[in-house]
Amino acid sequence: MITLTLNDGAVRAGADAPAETTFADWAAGGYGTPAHGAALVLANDLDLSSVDPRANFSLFGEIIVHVPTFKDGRAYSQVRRLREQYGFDGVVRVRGDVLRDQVQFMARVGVTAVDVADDAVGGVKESARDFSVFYQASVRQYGADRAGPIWRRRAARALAA
Amino acid sequence: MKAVTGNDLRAGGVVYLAPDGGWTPDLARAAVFEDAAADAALSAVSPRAVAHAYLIDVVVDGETVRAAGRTVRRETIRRDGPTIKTDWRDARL
Amino acid sequence: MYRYDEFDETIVRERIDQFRGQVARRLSGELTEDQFKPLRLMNGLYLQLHAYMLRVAVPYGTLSSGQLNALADIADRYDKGYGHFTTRQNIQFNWPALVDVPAILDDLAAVEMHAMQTSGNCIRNVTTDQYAGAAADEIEDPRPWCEAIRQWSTLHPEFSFLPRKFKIAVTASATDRAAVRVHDIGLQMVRDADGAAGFRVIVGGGLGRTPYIGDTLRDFLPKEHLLSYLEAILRVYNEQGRRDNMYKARIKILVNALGIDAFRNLVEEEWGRLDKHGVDLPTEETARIAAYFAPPVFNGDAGATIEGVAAAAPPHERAAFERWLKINTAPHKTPGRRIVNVSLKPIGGAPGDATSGQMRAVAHLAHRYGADEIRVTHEQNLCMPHIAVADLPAVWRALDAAGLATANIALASDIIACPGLDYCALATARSIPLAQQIATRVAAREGGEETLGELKIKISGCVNACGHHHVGNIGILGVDKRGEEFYQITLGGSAADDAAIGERVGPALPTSGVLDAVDALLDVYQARRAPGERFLDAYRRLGAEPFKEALYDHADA
Repeated sequence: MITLTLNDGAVRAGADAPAETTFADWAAGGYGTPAHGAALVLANDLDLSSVDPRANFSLFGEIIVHVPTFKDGRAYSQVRRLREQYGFDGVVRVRGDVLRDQVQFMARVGVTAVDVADDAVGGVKESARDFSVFYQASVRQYGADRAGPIWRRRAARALAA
Repeated sequence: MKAVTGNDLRAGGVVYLAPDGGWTPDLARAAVFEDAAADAALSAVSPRAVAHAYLIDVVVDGETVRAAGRTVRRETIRRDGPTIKTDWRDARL
Repeated sequence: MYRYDEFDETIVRERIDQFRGQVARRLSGELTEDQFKPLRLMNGLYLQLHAYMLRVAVPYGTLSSGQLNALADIADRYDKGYGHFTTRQNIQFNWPALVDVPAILDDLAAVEMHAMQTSGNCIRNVTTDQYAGAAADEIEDPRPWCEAIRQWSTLHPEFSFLPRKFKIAVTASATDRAAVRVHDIGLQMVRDADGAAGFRVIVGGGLGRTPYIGDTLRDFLPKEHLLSYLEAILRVYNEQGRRDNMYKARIKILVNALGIDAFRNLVEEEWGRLDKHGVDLPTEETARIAAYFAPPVFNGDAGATIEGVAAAAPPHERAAFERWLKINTAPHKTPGRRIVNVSLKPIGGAPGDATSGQMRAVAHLAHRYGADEIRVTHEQNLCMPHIAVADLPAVWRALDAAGLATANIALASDIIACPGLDYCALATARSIPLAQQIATRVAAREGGEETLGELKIKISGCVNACGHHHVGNIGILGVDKRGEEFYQITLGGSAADDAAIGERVGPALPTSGVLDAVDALLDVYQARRAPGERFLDAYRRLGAEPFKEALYDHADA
């Protein structure tokens, strides 16, 4: 397994991955400052709609979300909350059962890195560019696209015409 | 007795595993297996040839093979096509 | 109707390229069938009993003549010369080859159509009133809002892997023709005290194994906030809907488990928190979409009446024409116009099927007489919403010549039926042959089925309830008993404003018994109804007992 960074296509070997702390351990420790460089691991069924006010996600440089099966879409909402509700600005990495056809969706909710098999990198990079236009806004600039919702592009085009 | 069936991956049509290892649309020409051998035949099916392969109960009736058991109606419809009368469809246009 | 701009077209083209690649990966063995299945389903492609089945989206049931002609061409070129219109206002082709599907999608894209999200655990094709834009009693045309929902839900990055499928229906009329109370979300346009238009939001309705009538989540949502409110509902569902058991994964189960008040609190909290500005359409975009739905210009004779055209019909045609006018046409909001329903329920036919020739005949009529518009109804018929009254005789004759003028809209032979065991891989019993036999039987009753008035018979071939049997006035559910087909009868269901789930009346009957049972139920109704009373109203007034007695006395005898 290697980690593929979606915005620039850089790869990181599994051996270079950061140490990990689970959300449960972090909570048990009173949401204290983690070891330098540690990544936070969220369980797939963790409800992020509201968390303890002491939980400052920005203490971590990297958060790992888990996809137990590619049919399970909860991680998409988790990542969106991390970005929009908690303003998390670091790396969001997806681990688990991911189809290459899903990577662009993930990038658009704020995923910046995905763990893939070594021989899958080419296909994932290709699929991450399947679409050049989207109806919905993507979560800020983390994804492959930098556009807002489609009606902003339409308005801009109408203005230019 | 069992036969192996599924749908042709590219075209979608109903097919049955034949004694020569190929696939036939004709249930009467399907390979027939004892229960124990049937599982091995199913697991040997190439997923690039057939989608959704599974086993059905069959009986050998003289020269031919027929569906049997609990799913006989379903498998007979799969073999023969929809039972719906279609004369109304040709009546006008 | 809505026309694609360069962005809409690019999205559809890129989706086809993506799907073409997915098919190639499946054929090469890179994708297993388990991996490919959800991907093909999200593009409307099933594997059924005999073949693949492609479900093409007809967004909110609106088609142009050119689109219907293209569907006819696809039926001839890639299928067996017919298509099947569905209760979700879509069309299904029963026999395409996997290797042909990308080319079919290219043909669809050429007329601004696609098959996206007609299946899979995602937000499905949004449905609406087939009379939208023509009904006299609507607040405003709901289709611009349907188009807004279509765009918002298409390839949504967060909501494409939901716990289960998700269906939204919209109506803007006082009379609900879109069955909004039996959808995951039903939207009913209403006015607030100041006269502003908005939506009553209904959630958690649905049929299937566990039928529920939806609950009102919000009495009034300002229409400009529609998309952000939907986003809040979907996020709560995506996070909290059950994923451990596919039979308990629909939003209705979540709403029922939490209770509507607790569910509402979650949605309102989420809605309060999310960034509405990035989701809700600005007025310019709403206006841009709405402009495509401007009412067609009418230069005909505003004074023409159906009484007038009926009186002018030749004597040998008059009775049949009058009967068709009365049963298959409906009032239009513009004087001099009429809504024409096109029955896809010929007596003895397969409900919802149309041949390529019939599709072309309707396309031609809509082009010549009907402002180029056709609708698909959730009751599996077609509709031409804008016909000049003066043109009704010509339209009727042409429909009759095509086998499309059976005067039975909303009558007993206007049966909803799922494809059943003749086509469907999930079915446990056949539906269509039973519908054919029931239609033939009721049409042959003394005095004709017209004397029975409105009567909704709905048939499903398994518990998934695609034939809506729970909300049939007479509902019929096919079951398998030791290899034999049996049918369970429910009574008193309705999908309309008075939505109700039917009650099961007793043990399942064999096929022959069902035909006699329907006759027995209708005998009781005709003997005991008050003047002008519908079957449903008589059932509600009399209760189940007299009907049960007739049913099972008959079955025993």
